[in-house]
Amino acid sequence: MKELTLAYAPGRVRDWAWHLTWTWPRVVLALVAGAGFVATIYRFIFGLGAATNLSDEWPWALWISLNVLSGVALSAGAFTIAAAVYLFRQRALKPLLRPAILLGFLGYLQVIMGLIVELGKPWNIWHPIIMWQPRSAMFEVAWCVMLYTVVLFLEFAPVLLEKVGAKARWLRAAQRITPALVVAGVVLSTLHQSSLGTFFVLVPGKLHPLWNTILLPLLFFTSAIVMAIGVVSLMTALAYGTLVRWDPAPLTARLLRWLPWAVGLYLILKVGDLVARGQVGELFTGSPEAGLFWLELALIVLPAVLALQPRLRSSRRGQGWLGALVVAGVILNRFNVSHFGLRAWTAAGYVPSLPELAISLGLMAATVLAFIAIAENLPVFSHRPPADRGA
Amino acid sequence: MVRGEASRYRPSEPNPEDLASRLRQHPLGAGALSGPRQGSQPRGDPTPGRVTNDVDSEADGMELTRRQLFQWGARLGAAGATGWVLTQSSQAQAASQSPPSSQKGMLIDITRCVGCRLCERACASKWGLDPTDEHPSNQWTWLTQVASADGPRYVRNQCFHCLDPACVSACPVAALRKTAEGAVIYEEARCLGCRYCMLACPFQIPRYEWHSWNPAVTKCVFCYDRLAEGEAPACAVACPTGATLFGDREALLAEARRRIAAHPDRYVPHIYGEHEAGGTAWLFLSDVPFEELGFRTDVPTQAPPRRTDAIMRLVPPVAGGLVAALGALAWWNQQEEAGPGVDRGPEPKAERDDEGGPSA
Repeated sequence: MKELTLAYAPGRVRDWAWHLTWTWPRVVLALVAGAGFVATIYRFIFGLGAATNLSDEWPWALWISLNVLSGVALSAGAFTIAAAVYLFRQRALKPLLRPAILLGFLGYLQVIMGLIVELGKPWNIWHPIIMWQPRSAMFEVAWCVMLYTVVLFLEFAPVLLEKVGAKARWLRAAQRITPALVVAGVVLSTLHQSSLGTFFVLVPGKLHPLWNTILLPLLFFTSAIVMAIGVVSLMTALAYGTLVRWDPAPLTARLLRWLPWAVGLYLILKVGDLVARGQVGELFTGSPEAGLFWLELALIVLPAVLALQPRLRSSRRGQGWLGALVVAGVILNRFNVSHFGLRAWTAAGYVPSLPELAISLGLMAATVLAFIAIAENLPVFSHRPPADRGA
Repeated sequence: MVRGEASRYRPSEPNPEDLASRLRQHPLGAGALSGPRQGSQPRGDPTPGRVTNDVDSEADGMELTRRQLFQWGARLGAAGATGWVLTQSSQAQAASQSPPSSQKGMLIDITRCVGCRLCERACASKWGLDPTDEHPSNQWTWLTQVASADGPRYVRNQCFHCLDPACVSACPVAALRKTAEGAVIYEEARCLGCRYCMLACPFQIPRYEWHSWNPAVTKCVFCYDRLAEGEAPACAVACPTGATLFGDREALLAEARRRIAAHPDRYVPHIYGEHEAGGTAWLFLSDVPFEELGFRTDVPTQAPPRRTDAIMRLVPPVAGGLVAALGALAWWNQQEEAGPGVDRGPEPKAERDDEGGPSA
């Protein structure tokens, strides 16, 4: 019993005090989160009309592109690493599992909070539970996000149990249901990561031909896996030295070995789809959309090519940059589909308002800060690779 | 490699020979079988030899696991394909679905409209809209004036009441639905305000009460209550020139064709709404090309929900297939891990970071 907590933090048995070391980046994160909080209050007091630049011609805010679509993709590390460890027997990656699950859990809380801000009647957010409309991709996403957030919490529960020094029997029970949770998590993620793409299959007249394809769900799913590798690489690179005491670089390098494969699959689908739809010519029209498409591809293909180099993917700095490029590339893809690809049709000329920006970035900052705070106080990075033990 | 892996298996394992043979036979390869799960070391047993060597063994097993991945990819693909085939029958069924035979419609003949705006007023009084309220969300039908070569033209704007509406298929809570008479109606009590309907609408019709703390979607509801009682909508009753004609959509379509055939000099040969977005209840005739009147002529002729329905039908078979395949995989992994005859119930993690709390 005692040993359980001792092993994580000597001398802190049942120590409920929270420790957060304040560094300058963390102060900046807190300030951004604070600004977002103020903007959120403003939005709820004065309404969507006053707080946003939304209009009948442009009904979906920056919040959908960044906090919901990108947010869900950024949380893909949880199901990807869980599947790798528990289903595809990449046991060595297990030390990355807890941080990935925490990032996913906080990411989904962030998505839900973004939705609460975005919805016109957020107090009805639970309606999909009793008012069914299974024809709607939104309905499916609502259910999957609800269930998956619960699954992520349960997957994270052992960490909390360890912290509070729960009885070994509880920890055993938590571990026993883990494989079932992993399966549920992977299935739910597969469904809603892809269904976010289905949203935009419904607007064939509005979406630019470069992205207007019935394969969007498949592309969203494969790029979510690409994103998972990227975001976990970035996270471990940033966490080294402060949150994680062992060297995660060898594990991240192992993870990055899969990046060229994942990107390759994504690329085959994406380019093959363009060819099959006969839209290759759109790539060379010199339109802003073509530029964005090229940029989106470059941001993903470049790190995939670089990851082929063992030296680069093994260095911590290299891992951080590869991860950052991938993250930027997939986020740009979500923006292209949900924002830039729609601009030409409506000519609404939407530019996010200051409160919109503050809320979006504030939610992101709060998520990162919460991750840091929890990782500092709970046994998140506590699994260390055996090879590292002597170090 | 497999043999080498097996021979390096923990010496304290009760029966190495047995394990080695099982490893050779195991279809998923050896890489993942090289030790108990991290943390399955019994508490109070500090023997270093029992510590897992996951990293090393995994490095050796890399190629094998990659092959495994492809195999599983193929299997999942096969499961998906099976599901797809299974859903084809229901898809074919849905494709043959035709709009309700009682689908009502409206024929707006722009050549007959004089811009009196009685339709707007009738609508406002029928639905209790405040005529002094300037918000667009307060107007369910509104007239726009467009200058043309021979005088102004007046165009009525409101919901087209698609035969297969994108907004209805988009709404996650069925706040939008189609009545038996073919009106697309909105029930505010269900709405959660996601505004997917607004994004989905190919004509950009639904409007939102942006200024309200409790905003609703607003749009023409085709006077569904009057339709249910066999009456014409308020605007059609109010129209003094016959520019707004109410009836069965099929009959109105025939009438529109008749008018174009009778006066090919007066009308452009296009019934707007006949094919747009898979067909709409409201049909328009004009003597000026529709794009000049502000109509969107880039609307696809296929009903948008056809595309998403094809995808959403895959959800149950994909979910079922994945649960079965991945569940079997998880169960299999656990069986292999437990090892023969050794009941090492998964213990809480034994691997600990001795350094404790970080201090950044």
